[in-house]
Amino acid sequence: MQGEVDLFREYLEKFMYYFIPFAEELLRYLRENVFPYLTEIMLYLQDFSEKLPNSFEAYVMIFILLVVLGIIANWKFEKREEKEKKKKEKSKEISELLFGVS
Amino acid sequence: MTDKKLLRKGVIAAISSLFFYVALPYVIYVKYLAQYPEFGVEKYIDWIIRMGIVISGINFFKSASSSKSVRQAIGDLLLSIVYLIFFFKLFTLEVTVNVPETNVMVSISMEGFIYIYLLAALVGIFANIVKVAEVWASAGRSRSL
Repeated sequence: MQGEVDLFREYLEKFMYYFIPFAEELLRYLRENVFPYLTEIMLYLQDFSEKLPNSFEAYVMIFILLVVLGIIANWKFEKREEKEKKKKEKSKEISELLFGVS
Repeated sequence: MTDKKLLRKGVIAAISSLFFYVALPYVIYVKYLAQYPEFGVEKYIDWIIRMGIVISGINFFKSASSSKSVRQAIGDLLLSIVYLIFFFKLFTLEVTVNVPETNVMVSISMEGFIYIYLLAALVGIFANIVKVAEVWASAGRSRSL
């Protein structure tokens, strides 16, 4: 068991030895070339998060709305899907019968 | 007719996320953290609970729909957007810990994480938009949503 742990530690150290410089290089590249473009999105998100309601009632209302929407969607679309499944099964049976006859 | 199996799956998903995002943080806060008001973690707990309620609603919507459907893809997209807002809010909140006996004040902020998380979340949202379009196109071909 100790040998396996030592082997794992050795591999981990090797991995870190190669990975950390690569990760630092990647982070430096991102900081210079990508992150400046994200500041606008950050500002927008900051504005948006400040406008979010602070009362629990609003979030409970969203939860109830999503649950009702989920039930309605389930009721409406699963019915249609069930019909389509039945249709497909019927057409499969007919094609199998025809194939058997021929 | 509703699909009872899927509805049950949705209810289980909603209850489990309500437990992990609402009940568990609240219990931990009341039992262990409320006695240390100097930590000032109420803001974190409030936001975890608020967004947890929305996340559990979306989880219900997502899990109550059949696999590879547009509804499930939309649920994934909504979930990634809500997670982005949730973590953005958590990372930008600043907690100030005040220890009166020692006259020490420590300010904890996780804003350093935000850019790298924002990048990852935007890539995730883009992937989910592509997924919705893909499922929508395939649903159009087979005439089922």
